[in-house]
Amino acid sequence: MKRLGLNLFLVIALVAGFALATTLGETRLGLDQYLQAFTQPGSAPWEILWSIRAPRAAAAAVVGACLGLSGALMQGLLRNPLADPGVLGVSATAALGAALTIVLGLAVVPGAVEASALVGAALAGGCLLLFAARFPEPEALILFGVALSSFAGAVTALVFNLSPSPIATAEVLAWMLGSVENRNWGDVAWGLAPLGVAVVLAGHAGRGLLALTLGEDTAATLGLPMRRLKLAAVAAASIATGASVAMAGVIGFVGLASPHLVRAAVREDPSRLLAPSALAGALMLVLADLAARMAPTEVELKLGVFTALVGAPLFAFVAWRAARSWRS
Amino acid sequence: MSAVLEFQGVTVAIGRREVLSDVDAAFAPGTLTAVCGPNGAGKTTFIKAALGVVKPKAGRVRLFGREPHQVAPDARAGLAGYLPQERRIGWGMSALRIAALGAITAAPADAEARALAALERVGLSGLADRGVFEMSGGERARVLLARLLVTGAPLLLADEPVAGLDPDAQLLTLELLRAETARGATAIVTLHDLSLAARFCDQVLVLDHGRAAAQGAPLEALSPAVLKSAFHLDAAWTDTPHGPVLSSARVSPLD
Repeated sequence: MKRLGLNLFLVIALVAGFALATTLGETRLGLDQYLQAFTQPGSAPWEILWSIRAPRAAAAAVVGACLGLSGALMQGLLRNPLADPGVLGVSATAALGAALTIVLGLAVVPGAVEASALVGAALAGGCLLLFAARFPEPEALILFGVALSSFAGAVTALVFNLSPSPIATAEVLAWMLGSVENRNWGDVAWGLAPLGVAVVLAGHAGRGLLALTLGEDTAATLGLPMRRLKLAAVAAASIATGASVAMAGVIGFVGLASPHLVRAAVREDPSRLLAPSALAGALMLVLADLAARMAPTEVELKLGVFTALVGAPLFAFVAWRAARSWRS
Repeated sequence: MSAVLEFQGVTVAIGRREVLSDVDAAFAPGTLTAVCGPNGAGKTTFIKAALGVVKPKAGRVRLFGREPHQVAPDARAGLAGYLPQERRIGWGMSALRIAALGAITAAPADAEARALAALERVGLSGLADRGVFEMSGGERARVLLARLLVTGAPLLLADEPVAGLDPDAQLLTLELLRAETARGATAIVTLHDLSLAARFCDQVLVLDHGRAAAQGAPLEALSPAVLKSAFHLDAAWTDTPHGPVLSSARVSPLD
């Protein structure tokens, strides 16, 4: 009942956040224009609200949900509050896939950038799985993830370096800074499909994450098909991260922060954390995008830049708290 | 009576190092056995091999007549419960939720009822709702012991269950495992306290450099000769009203 209450609260907050993000924007509308937006399809206010702001907010919600779900999965899988798609290199590898596609001039093919980001995320997930099978210790996997992230970053820098066209370079850079600007309902629908798959897989993996609370060896003796459940968790996290990178570029720290926002409310249970973390991620990114849009800057702040600015100090805070708990 | 667990010439290697070498051992139903030996003797690997977590390089492990790594995970959980030496718990869930993980495949209400009963047995019924990170190390160890009891498995394998516990908690732990054998379960524990092993256990298996140095009734397996060769102790047993107690000195003291 408590869990249901938490999820209901987050859904209501998300709907309120979505309404706020749809209502507010750079173009100020009067009361009569808001009325037009609801009553006159095709009018300018209608276009602003339902063709520009609403799909953008919905895209932010889908991307945030993907990141929130992915972060909760990775933290549960690794029993580590510092794990997130960025730390483990999944985001960076997905970004590399997309950057390569843009620089090679394949971005004109519909869905090519998105598909390559998903392939990059899947490759990173596969590498992490292979490594985890050999070295199951969470600390080892985090170190490998950091190495993977650094390597993907280095190759992406090489792609920039060797890019023959400054236009393509600028396009990759803009994309990598992370944004949900100009997303339409088609983009939102495209993002919902992998999110749906990730949610189903994550639901399947939940009990495995719960068992892993006691460590790898004990989890293996509790009667659950741990290999299959861990595979489902990594697949879900990779698909969700790949989908988020494909939709909005690299957006850091949402995957890290979302589980922390709701962890206490579920008494730290990793299997009960998945849905609230996804909802919290969606809410966070809708509000972050609104804040980035409304920030009084000449050029609009990129969403990835905004979340990194807010998220990096948060990461330091979480690391400090984790370090303190490990000492006790 | 056929053995619950049997090791037949078992050799286990981790990397290039042979951790268990040609070990033969058998454990009868309803008995409590201590696996003793100096640090690095292969006690933890012995427990893991019994569970099928590590696979022998040579020889065979028989868990209720079957090779453990060939038994499906759910069936294996029904045969053997495991309490590891490592007591790290990933998340600060309530004691009740952690204990209930012993029956993770059961219906939630059933698992919770069993967890409550087990927490009562370890003296923590009043702390069932407390987060494990808010508990002392000893209380956490008791929560994990309750988690083992919740499994209700016919074979219980506990790796150093009394390490780091105060004397009262050590005695409680072994009394509870003894009580499990009274219901027909077989319990195997690794222990460093040889007096406790002699007092509570039906038999002792001594491992030394991965080899079975002795197996039998406690005072036979832990004879002065074995204590000298395996543990490098000059030792003697003394009878007390509470059972045999070991007095010992190092064979080669510093001075």
